[in-house]
Amino acid sequence: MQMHRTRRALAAALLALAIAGCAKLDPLSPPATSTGQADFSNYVAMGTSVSMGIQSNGLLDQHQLTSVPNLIARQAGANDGVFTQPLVASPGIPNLLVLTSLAPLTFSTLPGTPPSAPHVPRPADGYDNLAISGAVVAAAIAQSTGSPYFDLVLQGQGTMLRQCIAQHPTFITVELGVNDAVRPVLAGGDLTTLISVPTFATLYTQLMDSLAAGAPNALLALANIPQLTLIPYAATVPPVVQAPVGPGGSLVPVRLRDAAGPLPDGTLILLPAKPLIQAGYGFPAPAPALPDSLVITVAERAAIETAIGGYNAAIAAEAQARGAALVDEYALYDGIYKNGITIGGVHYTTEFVAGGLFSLDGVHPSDLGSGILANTFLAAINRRFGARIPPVDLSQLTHPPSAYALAKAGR
Amino acid sequence: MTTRPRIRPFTAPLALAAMLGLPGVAHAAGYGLYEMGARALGQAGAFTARADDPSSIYFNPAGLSRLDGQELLLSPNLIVFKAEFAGVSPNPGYGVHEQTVDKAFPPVAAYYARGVGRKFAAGIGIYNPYGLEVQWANPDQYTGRYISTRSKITPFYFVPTAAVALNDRLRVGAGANIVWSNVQLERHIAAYDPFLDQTVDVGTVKLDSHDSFGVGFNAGVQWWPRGKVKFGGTYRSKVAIDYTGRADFTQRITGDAAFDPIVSATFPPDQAVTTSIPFPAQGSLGIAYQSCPSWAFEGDLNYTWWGVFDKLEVNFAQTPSRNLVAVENWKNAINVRVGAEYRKGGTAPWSYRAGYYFDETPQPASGVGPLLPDADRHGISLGVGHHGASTTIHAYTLWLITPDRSTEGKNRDDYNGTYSLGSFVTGLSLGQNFH
Repeated sequence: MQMHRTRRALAAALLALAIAGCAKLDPLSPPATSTGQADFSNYVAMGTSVSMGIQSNGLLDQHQLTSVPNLIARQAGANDGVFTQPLVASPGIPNLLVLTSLAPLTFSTLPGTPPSAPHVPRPADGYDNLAISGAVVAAAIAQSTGSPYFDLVLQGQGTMLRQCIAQHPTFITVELGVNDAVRPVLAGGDLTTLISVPTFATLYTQLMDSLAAGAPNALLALANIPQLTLIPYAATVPPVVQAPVGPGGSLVPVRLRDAAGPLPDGTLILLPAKPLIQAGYGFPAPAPALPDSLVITVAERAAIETAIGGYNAAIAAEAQARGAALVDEYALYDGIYKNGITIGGVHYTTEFVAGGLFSLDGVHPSDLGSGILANTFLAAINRRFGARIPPVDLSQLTHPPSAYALAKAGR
Repeated sequence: MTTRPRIRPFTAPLALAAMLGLPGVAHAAGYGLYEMGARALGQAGAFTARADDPSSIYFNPAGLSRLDGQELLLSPNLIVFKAEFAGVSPNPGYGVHEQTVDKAFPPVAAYYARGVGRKFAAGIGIYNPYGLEVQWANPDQYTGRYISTRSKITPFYFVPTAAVALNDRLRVGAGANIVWSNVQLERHIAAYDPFLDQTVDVGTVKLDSHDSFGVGFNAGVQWWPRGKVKFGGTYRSKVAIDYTGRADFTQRITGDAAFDPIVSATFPPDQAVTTSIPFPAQGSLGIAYQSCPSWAFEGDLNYTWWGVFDKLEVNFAQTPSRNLVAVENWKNAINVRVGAEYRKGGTAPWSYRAGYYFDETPQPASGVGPLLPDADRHGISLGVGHHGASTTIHAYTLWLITPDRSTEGKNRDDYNGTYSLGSFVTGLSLGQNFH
């Protein structure tokens, strides 16, 4: 009796173990997408060149497909799978930069004549992606024409704000403010282009009030502004360079100068100064000084950085007041500038050209940079609205063959 | 004048170690192994309080003093291991499935000891209380190839041990742990190709250490007061091994004529490399209950100071910019083992055993990755033994149930998903007593 029971127990244990030992892991599927309180049935994006998909100094469909709003729309299954953008055929508007050599660093552009118009016509109520390169907050509110990109997107049918409201959106991403802060950076620290923090706050509130009045049912995700003095365009050229001016042509450190004198540490020199420096600009007199338009002084830099802090406080306050998701681009880029980012054991940085996170213009994110940014949007949206939208698969942006590569090839 | 032969004291154990085969992947948590004797393993390793055969050298050196005469014990094991991985977004993405090359390892523990009147004994053991090999299939396509395609740690412990009975009830023992070890690590190298705006596979690096050396000790105590209860405790010190070796870099041509020369110009040369891996301290407390001569039960509580494995650093002599620091941040971990042994009257020729253990993983979710994916383990064992006049033979089988382990989105290399570990362990102990 005793033995019989023991045997039965043994047999049962053996069976259980055999089953457990055969466990096998199946590939995982994304969990069912849930948008939570957010409704992506009619998603419209307002924004700047970053949302527009500008890369390497131009607008081209292959990078518009990896624009932040297009990636968000794809992940969220927005607009019944049809998120319209003003896609532009090769060679882009204007012709995109192409890397021709790393050492020395040289670029050309995609050959061909830029198209005169997008190959996706504007829907009657406007493109879903209304982001426009160069748009400051005031322009998003009030400008309907006046530059090729405004005309390309808006096509004379009213402002970005108006076309957004006209679509009766259920969800809006607002990626504005970057241009207000980047303008003085690109202008070599020309602070006359820098609006005051109260002015920015007033404009941003005005934009939010208009959205609240015109699209009262839309939920919002508001992106703040990354530190723009650390983009490759501004942070690549150091004030001290190694130059072959020592005894016998040996390399010695040379502190560059502008008209006001030697440039102290912390000064930013813009990328276009590189060929000038190679031609001798910025070296001790009688060499010509670096032009002020390519140098951001320490004081100018501080003013810009202070303004970004103030703008971001205004955006955060509005996000709080409107119940919006706050997309903390500042924190994202702060981490990336300091540490880079590791994806699948591969390290990417903001180094110009070689880092992988910025496109060849040193201002706009690469496809991968755009994907990382889209995931930051999605994380903020998921958190704020109890949604469960899966992140963009970054391996598709780093390694061929990829869905995006195929989409590009089949466009 | 005569030429004295040069004494090479390490040659013999090394040769013996080579004969004994290689360790398998970790079958206790982390990269620990516990497969040091079939009698103990039949009871899920719960043996600290009762260890009394030559495998006491591992399980509790105090127990070695119970031997009488010379005894040889050989414990070959077969460990079958496989790991699978299913990826999630953002990297490497949903739908990704990877698996390791199926591995079957035959680690052998070997003991020789000599006891005098069950009062005093001395012996040596050779075994692998740590060890690891994780080799991923299809390394050229494997999505984790820039992190690790193969990792292998092989230590041999050579353990001279002595034990003595202080009185009828109390016995103590201690041994030196003389350790040789080598490590092999392989992975692919990625580079960002700005011409293509893509990440490309530009080569491989294989790290192969020389045999490196370390020392430690172990000690144990057994207290068998009158009655049915027995106690045991044992401790094995940490052994930290500093490895030196060679790193072999091999460039792989991507076919991008603009980029390949750039890679060539900066590709590291083959060079010397150093790294360091600790084999942590372990302690065990056991309590056994001998309800009658036929039945014995034991419960052991083991503790491993895995917290010493805080990082894995690989330093290249010529290209320090390629140095690797993998933050491991392991935590100390417990395992609990319970076992039972039935031998009719305590003298019958056949004995039967069963046991269960729970082994807590020391690895935080951030470290669960291609180098070593670890998980909690539940082990269930069955064993049988035959006791002859001068020979013993024991056999055991151990089923390991490891709940799937998710990286919880925290992997330090941003390589996230779920790992499934499967393994099966079986082994024998063949003992010969030379009275």
